[in-house]
Amino acid sequence: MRAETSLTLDLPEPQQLSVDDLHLSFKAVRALNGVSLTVHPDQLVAVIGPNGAGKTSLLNCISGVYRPQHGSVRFGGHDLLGQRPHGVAQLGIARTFQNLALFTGMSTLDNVLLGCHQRVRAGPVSSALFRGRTRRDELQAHGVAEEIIEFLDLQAHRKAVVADLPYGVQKRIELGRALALQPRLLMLDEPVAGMNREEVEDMARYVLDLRLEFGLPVLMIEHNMRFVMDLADHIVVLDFGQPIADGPPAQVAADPKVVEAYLGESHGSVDAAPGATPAHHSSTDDER
Amino acid sequence: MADLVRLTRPAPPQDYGERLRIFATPGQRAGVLAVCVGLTVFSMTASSFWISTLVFALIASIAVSGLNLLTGFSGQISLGHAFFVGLGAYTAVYLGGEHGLPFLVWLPAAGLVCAVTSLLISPFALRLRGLYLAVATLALVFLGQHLFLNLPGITGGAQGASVPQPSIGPLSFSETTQIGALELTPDRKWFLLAGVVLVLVLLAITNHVRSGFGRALMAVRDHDTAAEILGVDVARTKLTVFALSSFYTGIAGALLGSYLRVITPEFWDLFLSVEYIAMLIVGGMGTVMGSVLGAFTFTIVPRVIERLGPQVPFIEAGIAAEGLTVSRLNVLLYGLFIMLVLVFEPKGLVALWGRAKRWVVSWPYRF
Repeated sequence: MRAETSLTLDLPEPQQLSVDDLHLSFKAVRALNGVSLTVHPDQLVAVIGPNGAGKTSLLNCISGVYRPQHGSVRFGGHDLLGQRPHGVAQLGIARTFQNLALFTGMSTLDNVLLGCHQRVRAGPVSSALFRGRTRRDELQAHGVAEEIIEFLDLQAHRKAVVADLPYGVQKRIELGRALALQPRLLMLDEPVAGMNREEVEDMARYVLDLRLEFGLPVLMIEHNMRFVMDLADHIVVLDFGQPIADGPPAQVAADPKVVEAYLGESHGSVDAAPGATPAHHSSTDDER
Repeated sequence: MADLVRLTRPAPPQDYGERLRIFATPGQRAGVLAVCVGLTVFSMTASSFWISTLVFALIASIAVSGLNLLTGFSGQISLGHAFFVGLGAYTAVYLGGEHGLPFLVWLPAAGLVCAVTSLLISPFALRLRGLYLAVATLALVFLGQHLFLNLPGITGGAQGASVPQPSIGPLSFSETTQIGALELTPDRKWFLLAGVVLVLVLLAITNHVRSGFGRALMAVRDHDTAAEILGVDVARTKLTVFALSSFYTGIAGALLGSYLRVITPEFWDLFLSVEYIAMLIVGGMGTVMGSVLGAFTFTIVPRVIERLGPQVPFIEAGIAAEGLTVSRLNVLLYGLFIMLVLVFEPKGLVALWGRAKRWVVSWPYRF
């Protein structure tokens, strides 16, 4: 049972992300081959596909880690290609990583505070004195971090060193750190990979709450089909860097090309078709 | 139900000023204050041998704190800090001696010269990381020694140069001043001076560390890709911390040179760099107090052995001695000490202190 959150966290206006005809290759290997997708400000778009389909490469292109050879990535009025990762972050795109990229030697609080980095003054001279704006920014960052910690039920782990915490909690901390950027778009790379059923349901609830409370657009990669089918408004399917299907969940699940990519040969329909609604879905409906 | 929720989940406090305090508890503040006062009282009564030991410890603490910012907090190993200590000292010689500028100008200037020099080097150095950076900065030490030897106009070459003595207004550090019953010898003045500079440096570093800048440093150390994704400009952060670290080290160098009075190029060699790294590791990397603990331990222990050495049996005196001399015993114990710390407390003396504190607090329960 969650407390009614009265978040004062103020997210900026969401923006539309448009990826158009993206090509990325590493020498002879074609990681992405003409991928296009759009995340509208009110959407949760999921990218699915077998291992090695180029899903994470796609996120890396958007966040400036990889440089694609061809195509365009636009966010709001900005061209993201050619931006360095910290520049993309400054435009309001936050992300999490498939294999966690937390600062494991630091506390939960410090990890979340690092998400606020762009909003704190961080020069060497101003920080030496720790007065005026530096102090004010720091207090403000603590306020934001504390709200996020409360939102994600991380209070008990606030001062714990991240390396000592269980995997599910670490995943949540990473989500918190991304939220602390107060982003205009959130990218989640396998947010529930390796989680047990309970943790998956918790994560689903956080993602739903995020969208309900802040209207935050999300671009998500996930293998857990039930999670994807329940949460996504729109699904893009990649196979060997090639987009093979694109549409609302029901349509994608019934697409014979998708079924073939996932199960080889023709094997009937994909697991967890929209009819099989898990328990947590109806409970969130009640809350609405 | 709503009330229950409120009970179990208190609203977070709106003001986080308490968290930003330098000392978490009043006890901590009292403890640090007591150590400062205790050392000052000791320095006003002790013999000049022990005062000079303390002065060297204070100056080493400044240098190691500077190195800690780079190596401990942002994870970049530098073996080149002896170069910056030397550069700081020669800046003092040049500005204070040759140009006769006052102490309050040449001391910060020594830091600034080192910071600017490190910025000139950093485009090469910061492309590297880990051991590669260590080797690249190692080159700096040899480059420095070559320059110090072959620029006799500034450094006096192999003959050495004399470094100006500090003076602030009417207060001269090379004469004794009588204040009532207290005799302020040059050594005692030096203790106060180095103490004040160290406290200022530690304050600045504590502030760096508790601000966004310090978090960015640790983020770069722990996971640079993640840091970049969060909006930390990694290249810029590395550049800044390299310069800042050199700044503090340069100030320590100016003080050290001035306290030594005459400096020669071979003093700023690799051994000095390694010694600073050893102090840092043994004290505890990435903690403000660790640098001080390490610097004090490594400065004081050899002097204690030097004093007690002649009383130990089997110790031979004289330069021609073939057996165990005081200096050989010193090197032996020094090495043994480093090994013991690394084996039993890899996080350094600071962790040992934390453990002792926990033991006392939780007594009679054990964990």
